Amino acid sequence: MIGRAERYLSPAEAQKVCFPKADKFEGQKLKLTVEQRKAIEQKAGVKVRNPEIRYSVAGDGTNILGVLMFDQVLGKHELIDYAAAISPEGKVLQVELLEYRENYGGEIHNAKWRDQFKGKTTRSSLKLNDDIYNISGATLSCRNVTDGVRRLLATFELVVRPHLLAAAQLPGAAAKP
Amino acid sequence: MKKRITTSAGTRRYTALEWAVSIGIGLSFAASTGVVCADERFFTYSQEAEVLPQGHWEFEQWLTHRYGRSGGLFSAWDFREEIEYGLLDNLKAAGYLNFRQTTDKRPGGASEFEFEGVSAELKYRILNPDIQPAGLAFYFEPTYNGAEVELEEKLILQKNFGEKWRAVLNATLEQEWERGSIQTGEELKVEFTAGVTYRMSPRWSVGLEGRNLRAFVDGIGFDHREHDAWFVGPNVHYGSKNGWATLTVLPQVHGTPNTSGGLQLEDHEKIEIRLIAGINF
Repeated sequence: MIGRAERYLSPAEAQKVCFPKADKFEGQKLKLTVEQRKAIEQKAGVKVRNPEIRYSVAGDGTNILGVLMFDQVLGKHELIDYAAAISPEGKVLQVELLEYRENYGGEIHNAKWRDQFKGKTTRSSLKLNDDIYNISGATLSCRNVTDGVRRLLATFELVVRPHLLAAAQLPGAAAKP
Repeated sequence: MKKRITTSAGTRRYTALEWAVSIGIGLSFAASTGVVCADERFFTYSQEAEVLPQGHWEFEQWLTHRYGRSGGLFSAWDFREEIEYGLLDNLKAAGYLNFRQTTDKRPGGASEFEFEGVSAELKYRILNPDIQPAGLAFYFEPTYNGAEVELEEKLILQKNFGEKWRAVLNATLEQEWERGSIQTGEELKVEFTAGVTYRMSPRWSVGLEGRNLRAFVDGIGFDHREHDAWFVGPNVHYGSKNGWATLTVLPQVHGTPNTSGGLQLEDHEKIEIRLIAGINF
């Protein structure tokens, strides 16, 4: 059956799939402050479900190739694990589904649907039935993953990127979106 | 759906064993498809605008207990077994088997378990509440049991407020023809149901449902309202990827004509309790 609950990728596998040229990955966690949560929610228009964010910085030698941000959104009853690869400039490079637990609606794993996110930034609309098409029968999953990617982009721009700049992991001037 | 306790001529009496077998057949059929999934309902008296995705199956078991008519002499259990199928992503079809257990509590009274006929259903969604400002659907349900024909048309409105809140409003028109020994009886009913529910967690929701039922007699028209009753009560819903269940307790809060303490207990029950469970395989 299409859309049956399935585990697609582990976080380590997702790193390799999204950044095949990377020779190192540095996993990081950050706890969002109340102000940061509010700022993300205001920018993305989506609630922050988990104040702890988890991401992995992909590098090739001394170059930072991007950040893989891990997230969960609610399907109908179960959580959907997914990850978005974001370039240092703040563009979506790839969206990967890690685990889908619902019995139907898993058509969002379709590569064509996920490819729509490539190149999106915080300036993109990122709305279902606008610049992201809907899959009939998987509406809730489509809507919630779309909202989730919008939240991840806002989180990257407002929290992760400044954090990497402060840690001198990103070249400041060259990395502005 | 019929609400009368009295037995209609032409219905066949079934045993509890036969009823159990019918449920077993329904469950087996649902299991054999291997693709059953839920068209989840957060309310039991109101329909929602969402429909099953195309090509998916679902099995639902309905159970309604009604009691507290005048004198408290009757009580009834209504059983419905339903198989649903998504014809299109916005069109759902369903078939029902209807059974009823009635108990006469008067001295010498008996219990009866009867087959109450079959129903079919079509639900067509025009607006999807998950991606549009509000949901809108049309619903049509004919029922036949040998002596009666019943048609039910419903307009369904739904509004979701974020991920937590959802509200529904149904307006239903129900025509009924009953073949008698001398002439055919006709009745018209208008029913309004509404509900609001809050999702406390991904699996649990609680809410409130209301229902107003008005019956008109002397033909299919609105010339003479015979009786009406208002019901309001709480509901609770549990859902998971394998199935769901919703329970509503609906006491009558007002009825016309008043037969007992502001309630109409000649044609309506004092309280109704309904459980619907949808099973995934």
